[in-house]
Amino acid sequence: MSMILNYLPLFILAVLVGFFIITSVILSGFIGPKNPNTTKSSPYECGIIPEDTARKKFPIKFYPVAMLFVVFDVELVFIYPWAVVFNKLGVSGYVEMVIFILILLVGYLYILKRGGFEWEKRNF
Amino acid sequence: MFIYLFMPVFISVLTGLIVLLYDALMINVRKWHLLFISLAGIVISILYSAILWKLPFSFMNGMFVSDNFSIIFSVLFLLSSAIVLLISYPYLNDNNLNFGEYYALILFATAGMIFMASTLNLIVIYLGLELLTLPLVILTCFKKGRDFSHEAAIKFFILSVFSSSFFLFGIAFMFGATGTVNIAQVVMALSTHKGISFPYMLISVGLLILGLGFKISIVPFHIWTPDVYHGAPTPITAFMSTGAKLAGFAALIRILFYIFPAIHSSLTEVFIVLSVITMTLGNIVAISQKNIKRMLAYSSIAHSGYVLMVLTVFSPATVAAAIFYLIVYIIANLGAFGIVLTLRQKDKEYLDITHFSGLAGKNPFLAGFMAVFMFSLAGIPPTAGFMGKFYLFNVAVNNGFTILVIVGLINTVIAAYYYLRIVYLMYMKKETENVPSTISPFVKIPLIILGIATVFFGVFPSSIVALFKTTLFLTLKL
Amino acid sequence: MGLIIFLILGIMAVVTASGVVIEKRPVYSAIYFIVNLITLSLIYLTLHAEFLAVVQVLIYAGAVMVLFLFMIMIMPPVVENRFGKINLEKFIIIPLLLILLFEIIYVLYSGLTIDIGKNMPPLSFEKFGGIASLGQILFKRYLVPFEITSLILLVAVIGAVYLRRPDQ
Repeated sequence: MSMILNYLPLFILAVLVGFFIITSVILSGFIGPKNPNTTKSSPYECGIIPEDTARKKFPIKFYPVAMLFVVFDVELVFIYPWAVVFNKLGVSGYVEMVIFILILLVGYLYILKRGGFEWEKRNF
Repeated sequence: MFIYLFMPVFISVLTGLIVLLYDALMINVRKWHLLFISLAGIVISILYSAILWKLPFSFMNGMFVSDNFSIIFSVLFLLSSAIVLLISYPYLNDNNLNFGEYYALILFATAGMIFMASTLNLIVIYLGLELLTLPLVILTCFKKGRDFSHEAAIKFFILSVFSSSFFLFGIAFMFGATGTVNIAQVVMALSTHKGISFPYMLISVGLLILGLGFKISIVPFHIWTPDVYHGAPTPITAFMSTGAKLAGFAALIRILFYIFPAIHSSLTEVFIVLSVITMTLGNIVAISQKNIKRMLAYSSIAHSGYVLMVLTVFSPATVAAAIFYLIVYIIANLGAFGIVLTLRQKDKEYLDITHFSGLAGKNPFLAGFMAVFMFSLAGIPPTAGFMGKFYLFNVAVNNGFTILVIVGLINTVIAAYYYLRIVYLMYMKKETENVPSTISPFVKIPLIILGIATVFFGVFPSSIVALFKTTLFLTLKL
Repeated sequence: MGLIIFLILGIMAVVTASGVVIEKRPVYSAIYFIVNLITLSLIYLTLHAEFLAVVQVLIYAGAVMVLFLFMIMIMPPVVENRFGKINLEKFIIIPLLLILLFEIIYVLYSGLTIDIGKNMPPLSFEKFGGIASLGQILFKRYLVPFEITSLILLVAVIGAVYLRRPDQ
């Protein structure tokens, strides 16, 4: 129970943020003048005129990048608690993490050598 | 001392890492170097396992254990991986596939299997299962652009993730019911709070059986098997139907062994039903298969059904009979897939059952060995398959499952039809189509070893069964 | 107070989870999914599992959602129309799922008639789920699973790189 109360400021902040967003969107809808025309209603793309729909097939190249990102993100999650208790774990904790990182280093070297980080060239 | 405990699994992982990096980093990689390194690693692993024989250890309260049960299974995993590595060599060569990744993934999968067999902790079993499944998924679509292989990989991946999540859910319920994920402590935790968390326990065991039942393809969870076995490269099919299945059984036997005392006999009927439908469906559907890999897939489903027969009663005899049956099954199955693998020219494979017509006239060596393996799978006397079934049915009768044995015998007769049909086609039929066969020493040597093992275990089974009876069960208790 | 918070979050989680499945447009499903993940992380917070809550947002809402969105980008838009078709499978699956749900509720309910709280492992509530206690457990008792995880990640790396390569 006391733990939940610890998050009370966070909760109040979240409510305030939500309130601010919702009211500003609604208020600008009511107060602001509305003169719609074709150019204004089209989606804004850095000033370039949109050519066709955005729902097109994207190259698969993006996907492996995201997958590798997830893998190393998960690695990071393991390092986080390790760093917090590093002093208490002593040498064994250090060795454990070295093994963990070495195994993933093999993965890193593998990606590097097989061209997983290259965007254009594909010389496998 | 605990360093020794990890040696078998550590060596196979290390070998996998070395093979992977050697292939990726070096410029002029000789392919046989990779094979040699992998096999050397496996041999060293087996030697370390042998050192640990009869020296039961437990690390971190059952987080990782090394008892006779786990050692027998580890050696079996390592041997079947070694044979798969050997028979893959000409296949990879002809299809121009990468050796480094392939061998490394097989070694990692082997490590996963060893983890599954040598732990009392459900979390480690789960992670071992993942470490086994993930490489298998990649290996299933290893030969890209091949018919069915992508479809097979996607089916396998999605369904195995599904089953793993059921397994995880089971672990969560187990923790909720007993406050531990160590299966050796479950009974004690339950007995201190008698009857309190029993329903949770039942849900948990049901979910755990579901998760592992997927791996060993028990009938309601078997649907992936034929498609994946068909779509995967043939050596990988051999690996999946032997090593991977064995790992599932190892984990299942260990979990049931510890948990059955806690749930008494609530699940006996469930296992009887599962066993009957698994055997019957596997065998009946196998009859109508035209493709040899699909036929062997259904036959492997049926064989799981036979083993399930005895998994409701745990005594030295049942465990020994189940493991002996599994050994006999993997020997014959590896051999059969090895022969299926030889019927190809370069990257074109001949997988129809009719392609076996007239093989005896053209290649008596292959036909003879295929006949031995088929006899063994069917359970015909001079081979190991007969003794395996004999021990299994014997144990089942002794434990009062006479009806199960009758069903099993009927199934054996059904199964004999489709196994012997291959023998019939090989010896009695004329060749209908010109089917080439590529046989290299890498396939020949394992085939000879497997063939000899099949006959040897058929003639002298008693010593090994007696060994299992005396050594396995006692250390299982730790 | 705790119960009210849990009820609000629980209902939100169920509603958003159903939204993921029912919604026909994949991007909307993805947004429902994000909300669902954040709700779950709030539930973890109320259960004193702060680290899990952080990881939930970091990994799922951060990294895994990227995969989902990339997948939606890669898929052709036609796929949108194929969701939500009424077919035979639905008529079979929905009753089966309801039966399963009923079974689970029934079993849990019959279990709830007895006091189950006693069986829980003794947790010191102030520390349980905190990063420090989690680190202690992870790197001392659960050292084997920890190392296996790195192997699984390595296999995932191999898969991502190998399968991306073009056909030979």
